[in-house]
Amino acid sequence: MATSASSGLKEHEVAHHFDDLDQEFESHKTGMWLFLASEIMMFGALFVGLIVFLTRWPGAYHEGSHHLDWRLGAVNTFFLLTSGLTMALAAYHGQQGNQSKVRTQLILSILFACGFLVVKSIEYSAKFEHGTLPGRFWHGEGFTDPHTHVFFGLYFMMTGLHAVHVLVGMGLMIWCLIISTRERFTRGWFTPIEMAGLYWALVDLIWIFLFPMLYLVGT
Amino acid sequence: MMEQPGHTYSFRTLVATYVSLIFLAALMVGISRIDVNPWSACPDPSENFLCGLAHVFDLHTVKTAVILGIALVMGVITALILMGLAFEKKLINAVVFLSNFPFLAIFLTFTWADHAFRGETDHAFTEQINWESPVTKMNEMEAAKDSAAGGASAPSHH
Repeated sequence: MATSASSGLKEHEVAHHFDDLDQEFESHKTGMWLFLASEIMMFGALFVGLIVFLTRWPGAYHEGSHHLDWRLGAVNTFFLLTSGLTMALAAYHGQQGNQSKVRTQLILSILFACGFLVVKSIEYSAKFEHGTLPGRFWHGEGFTDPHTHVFFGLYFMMTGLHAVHVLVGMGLMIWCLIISTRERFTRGWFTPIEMAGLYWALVDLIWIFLFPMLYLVGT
Repeated sequence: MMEQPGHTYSFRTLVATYVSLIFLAALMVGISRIDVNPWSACPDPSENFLCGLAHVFDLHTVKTAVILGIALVMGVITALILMGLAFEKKLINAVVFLSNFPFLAIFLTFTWADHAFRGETDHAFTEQINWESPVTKMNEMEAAKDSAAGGASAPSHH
């Protein structure tokens, strides 16, 4: 079995079906990108639905968008972009083999992700209160366009699915935190942080398009 | 020193990426807050650039295009730096870029086909769907409630 070279840190054993560390890393990355491609396709279909809705019923889109608070969306954008930076910095420190800084950056990322979910729950509670819920659950008052409920259906579908991805991302960060606590990251092996970072960048990327599409375009 | 797989992160690049993303997000929000109605309504196209533009294009559409353009730039920066595509081989980037188009075509074709021919191929399916809008239903209920309340509170002449 091939092993990675040592530099004072614990060694990572390359799995028996790989020739070396580089091949192992590239294989993991290819697998991760294939998974991310499937995620992009799933969200891509929803974005197409949103664009079709915008072009078909612009009045309903604008009426729905006016009922979203762009300030809360902007705060969430700040949280996600900052957590994107801290996650990338965790990968940076992982490459340096600096375990304590990796842990600090991962904890910061988790906190920003929590902040995102708190703001999202504030937004959702307002929607529940005003009755702007999808389909037969709708009991919102003061809306004129008969298609406005579709906007909120798309809003809950897309932001809810995105929030599930945020939760999964937080789970991955906690997993990386556990690995880092066991001092297993080395200068040559930091694959879990790299892959979790890729996933988190995708979560960022989706929000980068969700935020203007839902909160800014219709205002 | 142990050889590292993948590309090496640069602290400065990461911070510069973050600053540019925050700046672009702020710019996007700022543009969305601009009220374009005064320019859309201005009678003289030669008054200023935006008045002239409003005579050629719908300024709301232009604003939407600019906002989504900025989002696209932010997305490209994220994909290139944070997801590391800038450090990948050109062939991989070309595959990622070109594979977008067939999938976009599939999504658009199926959405269009569904939208254009809904109910025409399977009438039984159309009959199963309740087309009544919950918004309309709610407004009707509110109107009925208001008229009942108005009728009840109206002074009696008898």
